[in-house]
Amino acid sequence: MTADDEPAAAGGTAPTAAEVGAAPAPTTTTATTTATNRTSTAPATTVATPATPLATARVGTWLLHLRGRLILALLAAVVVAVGAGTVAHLVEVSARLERDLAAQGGRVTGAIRTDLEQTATALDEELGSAADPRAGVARLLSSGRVEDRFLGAHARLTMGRLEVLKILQRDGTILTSGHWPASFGALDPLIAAYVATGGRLPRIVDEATPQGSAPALERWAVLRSGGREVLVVAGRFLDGSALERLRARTGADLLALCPAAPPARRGAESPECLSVRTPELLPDRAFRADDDAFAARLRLDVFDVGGFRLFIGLDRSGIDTVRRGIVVRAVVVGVLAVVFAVVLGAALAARIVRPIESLADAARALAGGDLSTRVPPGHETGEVRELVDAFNRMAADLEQGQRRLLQAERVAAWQEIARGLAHELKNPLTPILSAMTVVRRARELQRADFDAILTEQSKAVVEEVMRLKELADAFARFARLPEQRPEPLRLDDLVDQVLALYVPADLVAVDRGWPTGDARLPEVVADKNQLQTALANLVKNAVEAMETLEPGAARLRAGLAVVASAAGGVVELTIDDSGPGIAPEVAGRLFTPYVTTKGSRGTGLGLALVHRIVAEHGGSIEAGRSPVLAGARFAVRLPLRPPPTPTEQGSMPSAPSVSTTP
Amino acid sequence: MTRVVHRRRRGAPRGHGLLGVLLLAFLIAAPAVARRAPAPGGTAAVAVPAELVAAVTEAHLFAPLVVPARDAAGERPALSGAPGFASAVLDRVVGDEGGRRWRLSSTAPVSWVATSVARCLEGRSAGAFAAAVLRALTVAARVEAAGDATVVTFDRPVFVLPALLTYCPLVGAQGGATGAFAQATPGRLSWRSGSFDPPPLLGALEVRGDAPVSDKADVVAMGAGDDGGATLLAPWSDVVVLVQGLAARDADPFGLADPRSGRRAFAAALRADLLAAAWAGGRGGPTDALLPSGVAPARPLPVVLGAVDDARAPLTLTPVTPGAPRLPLFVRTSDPLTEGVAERLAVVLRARGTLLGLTRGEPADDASELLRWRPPTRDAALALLAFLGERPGLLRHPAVARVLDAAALLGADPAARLGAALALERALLDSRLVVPLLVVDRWISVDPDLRGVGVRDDGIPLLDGAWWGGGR
Repeated sequence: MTADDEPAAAGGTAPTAAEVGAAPAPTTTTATTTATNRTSTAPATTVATPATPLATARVGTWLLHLRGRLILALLAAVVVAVGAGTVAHLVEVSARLERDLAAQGGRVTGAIRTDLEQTATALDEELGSAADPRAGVARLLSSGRVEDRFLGAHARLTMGRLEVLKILQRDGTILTSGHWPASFGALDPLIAAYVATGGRLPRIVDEATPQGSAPALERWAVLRSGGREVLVVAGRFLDGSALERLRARTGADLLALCPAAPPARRGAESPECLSVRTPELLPDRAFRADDDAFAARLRLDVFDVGGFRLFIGLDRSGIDTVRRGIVVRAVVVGVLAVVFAVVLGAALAARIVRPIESLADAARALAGGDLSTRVPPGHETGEVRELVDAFNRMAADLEQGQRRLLQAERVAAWQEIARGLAHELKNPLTPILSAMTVVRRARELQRADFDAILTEQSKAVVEEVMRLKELADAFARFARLPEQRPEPLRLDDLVDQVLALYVPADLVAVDRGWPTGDARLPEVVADKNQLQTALANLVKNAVEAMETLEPGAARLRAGLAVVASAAGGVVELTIDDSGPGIAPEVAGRLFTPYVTTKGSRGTGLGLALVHRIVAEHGGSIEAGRSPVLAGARFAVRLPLRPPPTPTEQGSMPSAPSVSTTP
Repeated sequence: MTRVVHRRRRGAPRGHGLLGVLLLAFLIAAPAVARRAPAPGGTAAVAVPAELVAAVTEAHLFAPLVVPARDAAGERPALSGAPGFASAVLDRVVGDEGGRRWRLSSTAPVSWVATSVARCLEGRSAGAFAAAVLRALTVAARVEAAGDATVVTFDRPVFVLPALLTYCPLVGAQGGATGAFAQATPGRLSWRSGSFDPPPLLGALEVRGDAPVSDKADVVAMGAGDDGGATLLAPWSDVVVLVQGLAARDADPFGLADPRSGRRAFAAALRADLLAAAWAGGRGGPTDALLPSGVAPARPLPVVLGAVDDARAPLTLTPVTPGAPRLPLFVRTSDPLTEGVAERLAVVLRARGTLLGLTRGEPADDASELLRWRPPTRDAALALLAFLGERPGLLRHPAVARVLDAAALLGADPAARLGAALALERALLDSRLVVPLLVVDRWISVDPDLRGVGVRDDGIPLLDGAWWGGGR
């Protein structure tokens, strides 16, 4: 195809940076024209993105904004401050409470030690009195009757404060037992413990009772009388009630007596413990020395008492409660601080960022071609105020420069039009002048064939005048298109009609590329006559461009497809030919009036008319190299729904922009 | 004897023979009058174990329907139709229809007698054992007042009704007293007139349930010690018995079935002599029999297993864990001797690595029980039946059921009843369901100034004829 129109700068502007950046990569783009300034926000082809990534992207974008960063910074400062304060307070309070609890544990432990020592002392006194020759136990030794011995011990027990009173032979045989009178004659296994300590009795032993065994605080003494030697053991049971009394008296939350080491026969079983505790202290669990729940809840002091370990526990849940209270208060304060930080951050950010955001919005609008954009004056001060002022001055300068450029372009365009028009007008005038000169010379010479000459020359004059009239009519059509009459129409049908009318089937092979049947293209709303005119110009140009080709080499392909865009559905019509393509010297001026490569055969207004029709339908047209037929390609994009008419917009459509891409 | 006394009071002969009659009456009654000297009055405090308070009180509030003839001491006439028994309430008992139907004629109102008999046969009387006997053999009885007599009908031959009614209290109208005393306040009985028995010589009785720890009562049943007063012994001893449930018997926690140690080692470890010395004042000792002397004659008993050397193996209070095997043992009463024996059993068990789970109260079915048992009657058959009637679990054991000869045990032939009783005792012993541990006398300490205190066969002290001899 040969470009038949001269490029024109009139009414066009260079593509903005946003347009360049947002436009999809063209196959071969020599020029891009858009109907409106919406190109900055509505690229020709846009693929919708899923909502969630979009939301994530928006959050990420927000975080990258200065406002988000400011609020985040303030939040971080608040959180760090509250957190650090809380931790410091927590550590200090915990340490103080732990010290208090340790001191209380020491007092309780001391009180229990004292109590046990007092009990041991009382037992020693009882043993001392038992050793008195006048005492009943001593009298027992003088009695030869076994039954008298244990009956006497039983009487001794009931008279004294002892709960354990035993008299044993050195081999461990129980002579008498107060708490288990019927155990006479049995071997007491504790004798080994008594003897093994070399006179130092384990202070708490697992004393056998008829029901089983029970821990007992015991002391013992050797009593010799009349050549006999016996062991006298006195003690008090540390059963549940005794431990409870001890616990209540000392203020411990838990007292537990556990065997220091489990007997070998118990195997892997944990030692059984006798324990008393405050009612609310883990009431559903039996105390075990290795129970983590108790270790977590209690501060435990342990000391060995003979064959037993006495655990003294103080409930540390009070500390935990205080800690939780601190944390709760810190959380509340933190939440309030966060809210305050957000509000304060938002206010500060608004004060700081709003002018910058206004600048950014204005810059985007400016980049989009709205040179009248200004940043309204606000309360900003300092550097921001200077920035705003500088921007507004820059925008004003740009607007003024643009206005001057447009004026210059308009003048240049009119000069071009005038030059072309003068050229076109001058061409007929020369024959007319020549014809009139011939007629005048024939009149002066009184040529006999003057009539014939007159007839011939007048015919030529009439022809040239008619040509001038056609020129004037074409210019008038270009200047003033008829009013649009949009209607729903099938673009594939229209293209088919145009191909049938303007393509000689014997010379050019036509390929139609659009979906049919159920996948048929939807209707577009457009003026059928104007679109037919535009299509006819494109098809005729393609056919004329292939006139010089060898037979069979002329091929034309018309394609239709729906493409998506941010503004909605768009139908793309492509006309490809196998001609020579667009000449580089006219590539940038294809849609300028009176630019033609066809000499006197063309008016130079065809593609300009096509461009104007497409623009008034809210579409765009691109010209470039055909990727399928290696000739020229014209791609027309029309919206499925037309834009508001000039009447609806309240103003004339803006001049079409022409972009020239090498 | 009551009727005689009443006649003596109410209907003394008049006329010329008056002096002679008075002289005769004086001569006849001289021993009794001497016992009641110097004069009625005074109060005696009686301390008995708590579980005997009801029986002691009942014995003094109500006249017995029947007493053994040897207890009558001439104050109650012999009961016609029941050799060996006496009664101040019943005139005559006649059994017919092969022992199924009995007719009781009485001097007391028939309704009282019928009601009282029914109470005893149904077990609603504290001191009666008849209900347990009938329950052991599942004998049903019906009591009805028929004209001037009370008729008792059994669903099988029962030839021992007089024995069953021994010490059965006669309850008056609306539960009123018929005996020598009336209930004045709780724990205090006061003299009353109109008794079927001779009037008491004491003005009041205080019955307390604080024996054996009481040291201030005039009469102490089974006291802790001997305070130097008179000591009365019941006709036969109590027996401390271990009744083993089937499960315990099979588990044999005491090793009674062990041929190496066995019963002999158990007895040696138990030291019944020391137990009796400690908690029975030395009035007791080991036994291998369930029926004590006085209830049953000397007879062959099961051979004691075990060797002497094993028996002398020392006991050790072996340390055991709370989760060690535990033998549940029930004790119905808080008798100190029983408690001591239980603790001794705990020693024996501990040496074998087992704990004793002692529970006070009514034993569960087929549970082991430790009890101080006293045969309620001299009749060995009825005593054993009463024992079994309180422990129906024993009756389900085949060895017992096999020898349970109801016809012989309730028959009219005393020798046959004794033979059946001894066979039953032997079955209980051989099966080790019943393990006699020791016998202990039932003794009653009496203030030296208090005279005329008696002891019934069932061990209940009786003060109907007691008086203060010291002028108190």
